Amino acid sequence: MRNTTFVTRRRLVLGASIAALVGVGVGVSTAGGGNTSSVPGIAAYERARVSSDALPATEVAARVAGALDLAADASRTLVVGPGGRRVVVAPISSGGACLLVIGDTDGNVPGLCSHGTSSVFEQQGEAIAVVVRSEGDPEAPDLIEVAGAVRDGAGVAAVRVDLAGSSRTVAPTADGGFLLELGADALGGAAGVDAVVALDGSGVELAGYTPAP
Amino acid sequence: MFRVPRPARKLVLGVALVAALVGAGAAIAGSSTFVAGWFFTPGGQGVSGVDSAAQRWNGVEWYSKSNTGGGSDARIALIDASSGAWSCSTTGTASSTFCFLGAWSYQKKGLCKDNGTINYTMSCRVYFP
Repeated sequence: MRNTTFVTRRRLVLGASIAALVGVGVGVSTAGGGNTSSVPGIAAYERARVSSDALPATEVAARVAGALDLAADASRTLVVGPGGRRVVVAPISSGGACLLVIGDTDGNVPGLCSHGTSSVFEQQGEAIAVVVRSEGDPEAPDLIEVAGAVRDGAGVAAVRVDLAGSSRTVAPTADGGFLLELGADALGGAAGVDAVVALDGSGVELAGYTPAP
Repeated sequence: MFRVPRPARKLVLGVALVAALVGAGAAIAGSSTFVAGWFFTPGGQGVSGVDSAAQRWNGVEWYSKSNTGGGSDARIALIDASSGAWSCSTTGTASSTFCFLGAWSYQKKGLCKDNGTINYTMSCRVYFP
């Protein structure tokens, strides 16, 4: 009787151990189980990975990578701007990719994702992917940030950001990223972005994102 | 019959317990859906409940958006429950867009809105550590 009890207990302990190990194993395979190593349409994936392609070693970057299941070891930095601003693209371990805008002084990280076989260029005629973030009063923001990527081979030479009564133009980097940060002075009271337009080398509009009024 | 010495059994049980708790802890941190496949018309919005001291939202996302064409703009934001100030207010037409906060220790709620000119369906969630 007593031996039977001990056998049962040992089985229980063994079962709990196996269950725990299975749980840990599932976690590991979820975190690092992806086989995606490139992102279609992103020029930066045609070059070798360099150290500056790594996601910044910040708490928020690690948190975003964990929450979105990013294959951070395959990320590419498309823009390195003043103050360490970056546009980073990283594959999702289970398929797809995310575009992250990192390095704002408040630490906020906006971005967009495509899942499965869809592309981060699923919008704007597949020429550009755009993220527009604002801070403060939605009717009178303190800051608007326009960032994104241009699709490799789409012929985008510049990205124009239209505001009420003015516009700014930024050239994408060789890696295919762009980033424009507009503070209160640059906004001049504008409540938002009127349009984000991709231009070819002659200034012809290829595609654009026009936020609804 | 072989019997595992009592200290060894305690050690095995302890290791199993710690591993299980680590796994459970990893599973607890995650997300909470506050809009599940809603049909949105222009101007329509969904707002999450206010977070608690025990579980502060630190990110917000719309996903599974049914239309990514022109006029399908959406907006997400995290709103300070005390001051009403918006943060991480992000717009676009992609099927999935997110924003994570650098500092999130204040009480807040998540917002998800059809900011465009057409109807579509989407889901929205808040993230927590």
